Amino acid sequence: MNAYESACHYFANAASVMDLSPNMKRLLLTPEREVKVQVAMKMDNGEIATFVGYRIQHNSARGPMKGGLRFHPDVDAQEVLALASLMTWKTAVVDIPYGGAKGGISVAPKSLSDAELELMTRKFVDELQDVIGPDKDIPAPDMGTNAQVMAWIVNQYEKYHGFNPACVTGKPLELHGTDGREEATGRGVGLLTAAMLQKFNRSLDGTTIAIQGFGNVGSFAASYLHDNGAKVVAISDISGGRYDPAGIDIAAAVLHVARHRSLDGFETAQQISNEELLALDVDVLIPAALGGVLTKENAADVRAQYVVEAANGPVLPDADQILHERDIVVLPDILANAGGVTVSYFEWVQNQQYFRWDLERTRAELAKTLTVSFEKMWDIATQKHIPLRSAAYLMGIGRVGRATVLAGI
Amino acid sequence: MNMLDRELTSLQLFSGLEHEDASHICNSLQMTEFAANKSILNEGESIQALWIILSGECIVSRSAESGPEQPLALLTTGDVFGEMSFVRTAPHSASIRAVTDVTACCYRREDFLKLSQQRPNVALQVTSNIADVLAERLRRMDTWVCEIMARPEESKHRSEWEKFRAAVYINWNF
Repeated sequence: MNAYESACHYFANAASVMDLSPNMKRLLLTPEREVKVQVAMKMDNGEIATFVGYRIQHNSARGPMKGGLRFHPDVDAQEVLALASLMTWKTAVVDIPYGGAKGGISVAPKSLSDAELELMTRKFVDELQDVIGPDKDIPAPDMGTNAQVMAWIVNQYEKYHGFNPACVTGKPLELHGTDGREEATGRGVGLLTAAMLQKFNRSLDGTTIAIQGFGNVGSFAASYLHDNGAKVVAISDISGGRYDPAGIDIAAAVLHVARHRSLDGFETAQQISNEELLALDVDVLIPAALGGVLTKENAADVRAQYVVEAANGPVLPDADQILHERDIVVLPDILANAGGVTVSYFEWVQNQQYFRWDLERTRAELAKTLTVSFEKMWDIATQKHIPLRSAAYLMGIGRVGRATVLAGI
Repeated sequence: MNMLDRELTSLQLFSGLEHEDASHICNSLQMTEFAANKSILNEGESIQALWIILSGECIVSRSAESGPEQPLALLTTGDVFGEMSFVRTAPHSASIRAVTDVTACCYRREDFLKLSQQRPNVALQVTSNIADVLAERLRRMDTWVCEIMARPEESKHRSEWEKFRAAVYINWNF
């Protein structure tokens, strides 16, 4: 099952609980616009390279569409569509006034020089500039893109449309970015993990946690959880996993990654594989890297009592069913990693108002937004006796549905 | 035959008649004028007469089971109305209202019955012409029926939309 089928499955589950007709499901699942473009350029060595870029705008019933731009070799139309629809439900779950979109280029960014990366980004904006914008569709960083890429995007977009910082979020602080954007997704994961544990009369204190992935999301989640009393016993990245039952020194790991760009060479009590990390005897497992890591083959090995989907779609539907049958609580991606898009919204708001917030305000507003959404999702799940994921989808689909009904088709 | 008679005899109703026979019928027609917006015939009333519009426009409408009156057709110079009640004693199936100032002439059924006795061949031709008018309207009705037959999809869509509205506003509104 690929990412698109997985996203459709979760949507279909909620839609059948809501007893939506096939035509209404089709209306809600069909993207409003799919753009596929050629990005052709001269490489540093004089060769001509042609990349394929996508921007899929799934739904704008609740506002301008919002979603990341991903530079990764696995990017294809189906994956982008799946992620675009996830963005629609995600922005609705946290009740920010956006629809959902996603885009990207099928490329390995590390194979490009900085100059090539910049040129490719600008060429991509040349192709997209008439369909994106602060009131249409606002891109943001995703896998393989960062604040520097966003700076190139805004600069290129402004060549067509004039001063327009709100056309993209996740910008550098020097170029109308917001304090707290970089940490937002990971911080949100941490905040929500604490909120979930509280429902089971547990706190972060002494709770053991394994985090797969130590990039932007995993590292900030680890820092937040560690700083708030949890014991992060395992982390991992492409170089493999590190495990220390006594707890890993997260600050040292962050410093190591800042210096060496990966955990390669970071020594802890035990070296483990990414697969072994998923089966560790911990309280909370946080897959924060790629999608599809928990499958029907390995879901039975999970020993954690709680799984927090920091990545998009890390638990495939078969695995989700197995975890549910084993009474393992899954905090779904459409809320768990919504901290990023929430602070993107704050950045957009600041750009629209020409008014900058300080870090404390951003953090406080993030905590408020996520907590309110979590409480609502929890209440629905409790009232209807359904898993958290179903509750989140019911919330998201309900909000998008009400906007659709009010506006008409 | 005067100019008005010439205009009248060129109408479908007088098609196939000798001038003298058409002129004979014209002598029994009653000319009436209606101001714009004035009601000419009302649904449910029973006046056995055939009307021919000489100038102006009239709208044909019928009350619906629910909601406002439904307009059915716009009639103009040369069109006839009242033909159903004319051939069969029954209340008017629809109402006719003048949209503009209208001049029309009325051919009463009693004059037609006299014609049947005096000139049966002429009456037969007039009956045939009225049947043509009715056949034409029946053809139009067939088209409407086909359109209405296609409507269940539309009403299904409406109920689907209402069901969705209920789902997101009542059953799943938190």
